[in-house]
Amino acid sequence: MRRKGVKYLYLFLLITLLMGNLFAQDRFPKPEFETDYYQPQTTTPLPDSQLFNYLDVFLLVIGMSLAAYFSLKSRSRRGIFIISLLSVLYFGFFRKGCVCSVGSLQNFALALGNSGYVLPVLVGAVFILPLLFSLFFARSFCSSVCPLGAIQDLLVLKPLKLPSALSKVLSFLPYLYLGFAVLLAFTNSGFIICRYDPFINIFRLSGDFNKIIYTGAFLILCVLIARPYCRFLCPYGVLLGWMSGLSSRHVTITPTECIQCKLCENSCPFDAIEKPSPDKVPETRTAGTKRVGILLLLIPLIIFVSGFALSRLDNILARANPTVRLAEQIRLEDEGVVKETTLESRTFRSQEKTGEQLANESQNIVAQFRIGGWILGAFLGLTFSLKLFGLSVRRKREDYEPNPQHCFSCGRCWESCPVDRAPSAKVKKLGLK
Amino acid sequence: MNNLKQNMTETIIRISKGVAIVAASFSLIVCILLVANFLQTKTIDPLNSRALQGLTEKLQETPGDQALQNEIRALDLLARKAYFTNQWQLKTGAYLLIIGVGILLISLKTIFTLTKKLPLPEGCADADDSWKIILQSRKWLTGFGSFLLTFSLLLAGLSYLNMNNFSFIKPQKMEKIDFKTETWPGFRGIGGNSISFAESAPLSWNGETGENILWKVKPPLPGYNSPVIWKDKLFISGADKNRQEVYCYDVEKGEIIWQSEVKDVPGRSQNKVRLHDDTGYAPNTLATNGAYVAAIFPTGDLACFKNDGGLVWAKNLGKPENHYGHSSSLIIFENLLIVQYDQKKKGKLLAFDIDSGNEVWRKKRNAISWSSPICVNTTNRMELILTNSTSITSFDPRTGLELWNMDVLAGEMGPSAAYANGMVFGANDYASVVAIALTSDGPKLKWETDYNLPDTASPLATEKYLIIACSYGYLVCKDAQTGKMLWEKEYDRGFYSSPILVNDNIYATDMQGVTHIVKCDSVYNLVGEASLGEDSFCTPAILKNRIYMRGDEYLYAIGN
Ligand code: SF4
Repeated sequence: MRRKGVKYLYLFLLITLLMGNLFAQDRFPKPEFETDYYQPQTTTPLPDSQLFNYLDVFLLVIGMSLAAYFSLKSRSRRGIFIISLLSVLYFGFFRKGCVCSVGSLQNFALALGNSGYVLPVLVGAVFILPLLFSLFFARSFCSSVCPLGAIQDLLVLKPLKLPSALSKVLSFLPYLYLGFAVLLAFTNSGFIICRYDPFINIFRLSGDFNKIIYTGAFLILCVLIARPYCRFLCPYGVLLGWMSGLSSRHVTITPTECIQCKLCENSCPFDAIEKPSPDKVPETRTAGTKRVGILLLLIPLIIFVSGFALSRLDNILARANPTVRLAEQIRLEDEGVVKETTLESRTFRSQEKTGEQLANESQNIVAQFRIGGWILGAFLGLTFSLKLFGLSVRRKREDYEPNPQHCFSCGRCWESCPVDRAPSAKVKKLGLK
Repeated sequence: MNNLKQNMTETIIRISKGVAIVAASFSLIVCILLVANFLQTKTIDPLNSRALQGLTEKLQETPGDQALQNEIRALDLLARKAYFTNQWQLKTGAYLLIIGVGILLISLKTIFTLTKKLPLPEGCADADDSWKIILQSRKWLTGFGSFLLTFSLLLAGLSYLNMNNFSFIKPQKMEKIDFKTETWPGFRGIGGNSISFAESAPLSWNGETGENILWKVKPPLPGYNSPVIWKDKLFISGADKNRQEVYCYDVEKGEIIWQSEVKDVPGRSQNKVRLHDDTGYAPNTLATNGAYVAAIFPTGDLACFKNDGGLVWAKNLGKPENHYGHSSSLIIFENLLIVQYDQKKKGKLLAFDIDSGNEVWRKKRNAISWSSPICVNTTNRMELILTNSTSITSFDPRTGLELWNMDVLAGEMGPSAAYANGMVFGANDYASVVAIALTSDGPKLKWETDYNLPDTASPLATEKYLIIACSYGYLVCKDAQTGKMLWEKEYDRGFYSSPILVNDNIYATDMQGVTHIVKCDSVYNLVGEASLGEDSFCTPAILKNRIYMRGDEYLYAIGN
């Protein structure tokens, strides 16, 4: 009861902390001097020094190396916790959550789709390095170095356990988010990952009312459900999951041999522990084979239909693009359907570009969305089919082990394992065990 | 040993609990203070306090009162200090809150870690349960996938059925407009500078015989305002004691496309405004930017219409204190409708967002005038140049920032300024003609003369010449650089209409409705003369080789 009270108080304080930002608004007009005083011209600050960008990459590598060491070698939960804290402070509050690897995937997609945009080397490094690390050391980046993951991890107190079936369904959402984010970035229509980043407002201590409510709601969700963004939204997590799936090193619950004591079964707040497969299932072998056979036959159809469906959403999806929106606004204004002009339409009309040029540009963008829709639909259809396939085939598993794709390498499950190993002298000395 | 460890743990838990309670209480208090501070900032608006407003109003009545100005400054400073103190409090409060919540987090985490009980295996799923979970997951995933697919297909179907709403991609043939040759957006044309960009204009016409008159119509109500044009639409206003109206004409046929009355404008004073006969009820020329047309009347009513006649917004600017009647015309710069509202007292220069009618900026004006603003590009910036009974002043049209001011004028100021080649000209009857050079060190008075002065017509400036049309019948050409008179010509009637330059010819219409077409040169050379057959006091709009003119009664389109 008392613990519950503390939890609510804690929640309340987090929300009010965000409310502080509400007040930070500039509402004072400039003074009107009647003397010879001239208002100084507004100046734009100089761009950030590159030094910090190099430091970011350097610290990213150091952070991931340490995280990999703590999760795979020394099994130090405390070490991982300390990195989480430092990551939130440096990458989050000090660097204001930008550039982050999650958002950088959009820069990557933009660079692929637009020859005019060259991916900055440092942004490229922030995108590639965590993937490379995951390929060798599983998701050590997610465990503590990613500021978005780290802040959620710090909020894991006593989360609710979601029904496994629901988790499976929700785990499809990151693929949707990834697909749409790439499509929009590829067509130069915007960076939705950054726009809807739920944590950026707390890192920057700013944001309008709606954003603060959004962030507040997300933080509450983080207390109720462990790492909801990482598990059910993070598009970069999909790529990291694939890489981690290919990695030969993963976190193990037990340091030596699993004795099937079941003690760790409920220890993962992220539902990432796979149980040993049951010896017998109430389904005949023939029925199972038939079901898998049908699914295999259906896969091409699923891919085609979902590709077709999304390609036909071209007109709707293309509206995310500012050029297409402007073309539509200009048409509606010309036809007298809308009375109010917009800043964009007025600016367009004062420029040299003709309506035909704008309409042609929009047409090209819609065509890109149609092709992109086919690819996105096919990708989603395939992902869906593979997920279903994964649930349809039986894999032999003898021990309790973390799912190689979904385990965040956080090390929470270690303490449940009675077969623990004595920490190394070095780790003991550092007080990290 | 174990006991010691146990005791240590318990002590840490106890300390953490204490710290958590203190941190929570501290954060709560900071939070309450922040909310209170926020509410206070919301409710109290120090800059618009009654005291400050009262003092400001008082100052408008007695503009020179130094003591009052100092009092306002002191109060304003106090309000600003209060605001910045408030900002500091909010910022500090936010940081304190972060620290408080941070400590609370750490202590809670410590408590949870030290009191954590490892999960027990009871209630774990057996083989049957595992199978059930897999079965359920398959079902749910299939359901979710099917839902997404159906939803996308449905949406796609709808988007294609409802093609009209989604067909934003059809190439639209959008007409681009050549502002210079296809528009005459306000009084004295583009920027209000009396220059027409037409290649030529008719040299002869006759309003009585119909020679070169394309059409001639009588507007429903009279007015001394001049026509303004945007492509195929011409706008004027008309008014009498009881009605104020705006008219839109088809430039080809002279037919009224729409007419709208400006009435029941909120804020209009019940007291009738006093007007001089020479001013009339509709002396102010309209301004248009194609999408909108705006009109102002001596009653202080300001209205903005869509170009199809729909009223967008209207407001009254307060009863003008003006013994002849407010006659300044409007000008539009980018998205700002600019109103020179010079009065005996409480004069102001206002800029409204043309879409919404919201005031964007305002400046106080300290003297009366009947002139209109001009907006010109003085090489490296746009300047809004105004004349009044004491000075010529330049403003940044976007912000209203005063760029320069020269107290070089006097008298009851009717003529507006003129600009050419880095020189600004102002002139007024019973005062002087002044030429100001805009140099890199600021404006410099280049020359001044008190001979041949205009009363109502605004001067026309070119790189070499300055043309002045006087109300007592003289048309004068001066050297723009030196002020030396090059020629003068006296006509039977004087000029109220401002002269316009078309290519090399000056079109100057006298009060009898006779337009004298004279070469803009160092020697007088009359090119032609043409008569409307009725008096005229308005300035013509000349574009696309046509002249649109307003006589005392009729509106004319003149062309070959
Ligand atoms: S390390 Fe253990 S607790 Fe952490 S995510 Fe992986 S399985 Fe779950």
